[in-house]
Amino acid sequence: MDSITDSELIVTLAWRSAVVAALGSAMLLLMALAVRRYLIHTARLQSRLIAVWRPPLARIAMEPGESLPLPPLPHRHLTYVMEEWNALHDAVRGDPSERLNAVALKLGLDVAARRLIHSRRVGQKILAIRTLGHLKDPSSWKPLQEQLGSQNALVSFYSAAALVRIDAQRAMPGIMNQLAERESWPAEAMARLLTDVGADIAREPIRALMFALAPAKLPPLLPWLAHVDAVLGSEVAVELLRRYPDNAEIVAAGLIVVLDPGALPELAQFAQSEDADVRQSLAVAYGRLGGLGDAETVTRLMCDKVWWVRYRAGQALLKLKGMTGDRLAAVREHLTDPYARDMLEHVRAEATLA
Amino acid sequence: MNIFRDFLTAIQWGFLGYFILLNVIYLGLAFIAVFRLRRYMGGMSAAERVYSHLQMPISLVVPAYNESATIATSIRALLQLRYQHFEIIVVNDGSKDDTLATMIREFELTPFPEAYRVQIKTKPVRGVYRSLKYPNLRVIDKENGGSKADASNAGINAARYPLFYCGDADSILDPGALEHVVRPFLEDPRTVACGGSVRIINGCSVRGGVLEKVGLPRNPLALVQVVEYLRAFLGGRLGWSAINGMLIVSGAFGVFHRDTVVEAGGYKHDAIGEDMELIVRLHRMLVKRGQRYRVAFIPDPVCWTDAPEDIETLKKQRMRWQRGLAQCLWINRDLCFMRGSGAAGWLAFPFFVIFELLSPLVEVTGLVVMAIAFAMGMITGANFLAFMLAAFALGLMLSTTALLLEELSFHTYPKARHLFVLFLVSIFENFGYRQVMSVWRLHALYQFLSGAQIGWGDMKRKATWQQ
Repeated sequence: MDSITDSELIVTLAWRSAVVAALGSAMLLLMALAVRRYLIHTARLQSRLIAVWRPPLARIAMEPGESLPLPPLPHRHLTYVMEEWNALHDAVRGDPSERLNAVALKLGLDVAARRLIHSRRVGQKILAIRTLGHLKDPSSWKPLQEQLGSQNALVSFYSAAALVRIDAQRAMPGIMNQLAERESWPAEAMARLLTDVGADIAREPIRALMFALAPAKLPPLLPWLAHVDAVLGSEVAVELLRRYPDNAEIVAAGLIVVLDPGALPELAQFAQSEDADVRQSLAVAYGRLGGLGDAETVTRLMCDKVWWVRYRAGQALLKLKGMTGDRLAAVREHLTDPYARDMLEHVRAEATLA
Repeated sequence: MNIFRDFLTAIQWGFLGYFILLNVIYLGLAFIAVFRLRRYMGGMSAAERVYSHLQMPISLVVPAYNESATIATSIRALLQLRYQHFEIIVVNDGSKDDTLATMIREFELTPFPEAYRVQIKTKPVRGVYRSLKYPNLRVIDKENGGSKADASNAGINAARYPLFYCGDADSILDPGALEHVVRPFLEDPRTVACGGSVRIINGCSVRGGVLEKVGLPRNPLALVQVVEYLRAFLGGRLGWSAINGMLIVSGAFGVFHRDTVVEAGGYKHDAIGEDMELIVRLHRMLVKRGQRYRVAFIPDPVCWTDAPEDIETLKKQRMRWQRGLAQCLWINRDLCFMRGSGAAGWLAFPFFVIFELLSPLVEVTGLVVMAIAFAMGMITGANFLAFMLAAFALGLMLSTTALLLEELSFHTYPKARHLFVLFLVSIFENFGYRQVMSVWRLHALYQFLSGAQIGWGDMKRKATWQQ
């Protein structure tokens, strides 16, 4: 009987697929081995370079007037040394930082960083940005400002931090533009950056930005303003609460930063809000600012349909100024809502165990 | 006879085309994964520097049923995680042994009047306990719900934080797992779920619930599973996640946005593969709602799990996975080609149906037809060999791609010898192992289609790695 594969095409195709795939597999295995070898080599090289460079760099940074002969630095080792230099720089302030900068200029790290900032590899780009930031050289302003608008949140954020190091005042408008347009910067890292900028410089630009932006952009900015200036943050929050009482996101964010107990009677209206986040923030505000006179409102919040509102209200009740065990027992006596009673037991037990 | 001959020729074309297409898609996914991985690794140290202080609180939900022997070690391992803001919620799912008593003794648990909220219906909760030693440890004691899903749902009800982790009690987490997995949620607030790369722990050494040394298992079945896991996680899932087409987040390691899961109704208690079913249902719900979302995946080896070392347990596991896949795709079939469903509905779903669900049918039929044709002398030995070799070599190339991806990223296995062993395993798994898998999966598919009711069965775990 003849083979049914009258057309040899299918068999040829099968053979060729097998050969290509087998050769491909062998090539991939060789590549994997080569990658392994390269990575081991790189790790060893890095350890060796750290052992060679860390001691002189640390001594130069820490000991004024120290002028040590530096080891030769081949071009291919530049990024490793740059990484080490940045790590050391992150740990020091003031004069040691200036001395490290002098070493960097001597080694040509500034030139290398200005070249690396255009690298397509994110890691190298960020390394260059950090270096230029540490060097505080105003001539790096333009390339850093270009990176500030990068789509990559990390590249953009590191550029902001570098610009702040060079000239915080001058950096603020660019940073404010980014804040207005992007939501991808990590909030807590942003708060740290604003701390570096300093309240005197950051306060007014953020305040001005807040009153210029559309309401939808305001909620994330409120905590930052409060972070740089708690009192100003509270004042602005109260103003925004009056201006946008129907915007749940602004109200929820604003209630968290209000510091003025005198504003509480005005804020009580938000207990009727349909948004659970607003009611929860209100409960937190009562816990921070409220007194015995607010117990009734807080107790009402403890009957809320949302667990978190009841929980925060329960915590607030315990924290109200002047609240004692006897008064709490009295409140419990009058609680008819079983959920509220359960929650009160819950938060009391929690407070006892804490 | 001519008709039969034409039929066989057509089948041969069909099989060859199927295998080539399958492998081209997998290679395409691996290709995407290479770029994804390069980008991920490139920005990793910078990202860690920025995000190291940012830790979204996470609730760790640990369902436990008759685990008195291992529960204390598992909890201690979780308490050692390198993360600031987390709570552990162990759900004792009506254990018949002294799981609860062990926890009360080991962690000084005391009854706690928790205002427990029922957002997802579960079997009744009998009580809540809180540890006097560890303020972030609570235990929910509930009636047995007959499924991990029911226990997990009770844990989700008790979870306080915006994200929750759900995993298996027999898995070991990397101490930095939570730091890694929280990143996608920080980088993109639309993220609703994130899976991580799971590796095989057999052959490694573990002390006090913490992985001490990475190694390869001696058991051949476990060894093959090392390659399988590398292929699945580093090739497939990383590729799918890049185009938001992830349909699976492993039950061994997954972190979810709590409120979104609650809105979806939590885990489905009668789902065979509740982990995959939840993810596919989330896709379906969010697409229907028109909400922009992301299901992410991190390639970091964050979780190490125990692989079955005996044939019976492996068979039960794989058949359950296949039935779970079939059930999940059937329940959520309207995601397929759903308007606005993107890669999940238009690529991943059809792919899973054609190349995952139906692959055992195609493979087994192909093998049988070829063997019959060969036995009847209708194809020559050389031609038969050519088809077999093509299928094997394409599979081998996929496995080797996964090995390369592993080397490019985490190079978890420390010795070059490990790489050679895994390469050899990739060759030898083609001779018997894969065919047996296909037969088991085909059997499972038949069971699903015939409506057979099959439970989990006892899963034997040797856990020889544990000290």
